[in-house]
Amino acid sequence: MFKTFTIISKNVKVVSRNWMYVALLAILPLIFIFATSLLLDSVDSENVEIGIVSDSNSPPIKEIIPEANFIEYGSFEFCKEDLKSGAVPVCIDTPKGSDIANMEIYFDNSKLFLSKYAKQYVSEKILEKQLTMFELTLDEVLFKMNHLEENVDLAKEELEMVLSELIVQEKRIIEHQENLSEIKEEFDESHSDVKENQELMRENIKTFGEASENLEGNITEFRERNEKLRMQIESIKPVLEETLPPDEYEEVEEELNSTLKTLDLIDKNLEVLESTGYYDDPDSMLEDFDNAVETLDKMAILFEELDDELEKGIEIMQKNQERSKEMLEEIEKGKEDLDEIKGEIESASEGGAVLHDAFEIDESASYLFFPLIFILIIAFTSIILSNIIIAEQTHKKSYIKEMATPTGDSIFLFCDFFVALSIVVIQIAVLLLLGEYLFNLNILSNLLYIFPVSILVASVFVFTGMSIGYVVKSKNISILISTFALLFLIVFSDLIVPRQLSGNILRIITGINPFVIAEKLLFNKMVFSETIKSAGLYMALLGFFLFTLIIFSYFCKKVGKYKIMKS
Amino acid sequence: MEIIFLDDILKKYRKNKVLNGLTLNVEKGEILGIMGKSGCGKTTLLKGLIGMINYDSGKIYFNGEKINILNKNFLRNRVGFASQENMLYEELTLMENIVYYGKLYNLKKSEIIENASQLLGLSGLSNSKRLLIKNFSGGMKKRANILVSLVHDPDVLILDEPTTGLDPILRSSIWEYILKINKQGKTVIVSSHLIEELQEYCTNVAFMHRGRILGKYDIKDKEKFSEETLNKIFIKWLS
Repeated sequence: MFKTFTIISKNVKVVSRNWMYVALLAILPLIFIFATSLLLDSVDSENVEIGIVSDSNSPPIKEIIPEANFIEYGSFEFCKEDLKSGAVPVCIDTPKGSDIANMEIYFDNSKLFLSKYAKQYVSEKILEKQLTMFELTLDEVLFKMNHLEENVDLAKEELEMVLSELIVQEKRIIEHQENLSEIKEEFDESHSDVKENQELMRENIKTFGEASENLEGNITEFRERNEKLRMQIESIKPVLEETLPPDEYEEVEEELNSTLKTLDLIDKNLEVLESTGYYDDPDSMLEDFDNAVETLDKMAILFEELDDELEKGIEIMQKNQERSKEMLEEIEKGKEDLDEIKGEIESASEGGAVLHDAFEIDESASYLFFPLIFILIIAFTSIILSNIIIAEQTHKKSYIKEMATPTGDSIFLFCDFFVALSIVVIQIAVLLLLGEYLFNLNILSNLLYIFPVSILVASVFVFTGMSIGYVVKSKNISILISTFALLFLIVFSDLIVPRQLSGNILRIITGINPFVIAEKLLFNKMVFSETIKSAGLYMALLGFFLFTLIIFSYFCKKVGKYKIMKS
Repeated sequence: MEIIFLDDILKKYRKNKVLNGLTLNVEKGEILGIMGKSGCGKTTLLKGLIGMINYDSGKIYFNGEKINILNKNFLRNRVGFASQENMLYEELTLMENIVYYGKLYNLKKSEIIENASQLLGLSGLSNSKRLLIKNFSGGMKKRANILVSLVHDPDVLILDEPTTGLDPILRSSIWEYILKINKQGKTVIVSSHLIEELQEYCTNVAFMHRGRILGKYDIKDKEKFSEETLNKIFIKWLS
């Protein structure tokens, strides 16, 4: 144990007495993280310069993206030249009078990511404009459809009223028809009786004519007799009043008055008989009778026709009712279709797919990129530092002298690792404090997770750098290989191409990249204060890498020693 | 009395036989100079003697005990080694180097301090023990290098061309230091290609050629170690 402490103490002294290490490991990463955060915070799609070719003073794109940086060109050829030289990533050709739908947009596809950002920025703005226009159109369509729906409702109400009136009318006509049928029936009965007895009645009228010649004398005689009677009654009344007791007289007088009224009635009847005039004109009576029969015949025909007309009217009413019902059904169906279309339009106007930000987090690039930059610095420091320490050590003659001592390689291996890791741990601590206080990430509250994970990842990187340092004889080549190892880790990560966009093989490679695993493990904890689901699996994988690298670096040390001995 | 005996040693790097049937015995207390052309196998021989490499075949005896891969640390604890180049950490002081290497040889701090005070007196570096090695002069570095090789009090000190690159005055001061060490009872094995040095300071000289010891000669034995002998050896080397 004391041997280990001695070697560590020696390593610390050797490292700490070289100011270049301090500069490399303490100052440069700090400068790097500040510079990176400044750079990242200045990133904005609005900075994209857009070349526009237009013979119009206000091309539509200027209305769509008024805040953009536009560079105007006289012709498309000039714009294309600048596109090729990288001066602008987008060229928009907008001939005079063209609208949003007729713009020709050219992106610099030779610069993959810039092109994607520019495409996303311009497309997003155009889409926003188109969506606004679409929403306005939909609102207008909806307004008109609502109006149409109101009209349809009104028409339906009107039609329903017409239908109900038709039903009422039909009932009335049916009632009239029934009444008419009854009257007609009675009429037909009377009419047939009249027809049957027409000749007999004509004979009777003729007979009545002959008898009416004596009627006038008889009426005069009746009137004279009535007058005599009235006078006799009037004359007898005072006699009876005097002779009879009052009670009896009252009864008699009542009888006498009644007789007088009867006589008045007879007079009136005689007047009526006289007023007909038939008694002195029997021919006229016969003519009137014939006319009356003829009228009755016509009435019978009229009744028949009226009955037919009513029947037809009922039929028409029923047909109209049917048509009204059909029309109502059609209107109902049309209204349903209208509602359906309206619903679709309304749901379309409500947006359909709505884009949301799933998390309420600080979206500044320096905040979101901190875990990545943190891992990047740790990976850089761990690999390069451990490699430099080992490369420096193996190129000293003291390394050969150490080989001649009775101290095992494993002890040296552990001590080298411990010293390199100690320096990285200092850096981890400084960076985590920066993350907490400068970038406001959730670090200190999750320190029990973040710190061990950082140490685990750093250990993997340290052993990577150490292995290269032990096995590669040339110091420069060793540092170069370490740099390439670091580049390899970076290239097969999210830094250049997001792994979600890559193919299966590349995704597997990036999936087991310790750099990516570390970023996955730390990002969620630092940003969301949450542990990712497969954290245990990833940590086990890192543990496996660490174990493999310990064994590998031990063999690298042996191989390196053999090479030194041989030389 | 024999302290080291190498018997029929073979060491190959791929097909190249660097040591080819080498046999050598080293007497206790002697200063043995090993001389040979560059590439004759001197350094490989010495690396094997300090336990840094394993020979492919042959036997090594140290104080009569056979050395194998399992008891290599036995050899390491009894042999000290210094090369022509500085093997100390330049960023550490001399004392820090002494303590560091002492600990690697499993010594207690008290033992290290005790040994160091004696060795510092012997090397004349007592006043420089708190200085960083990178601030030492060339001669001081050589002496410091040898001093640290003795911190674990080995029986045998192996020096690989210890005076290379030094001026004659510094060379003689280093040899004086080696002689002092030898007088402390340490056996010293020195490789060099400077025959005059070996003639002047060694008790015996062994000549190496193509991985073999051509012969080991006592400097004081004028009959064997003569001008004629040297000429024969040089003719053999040239052929």
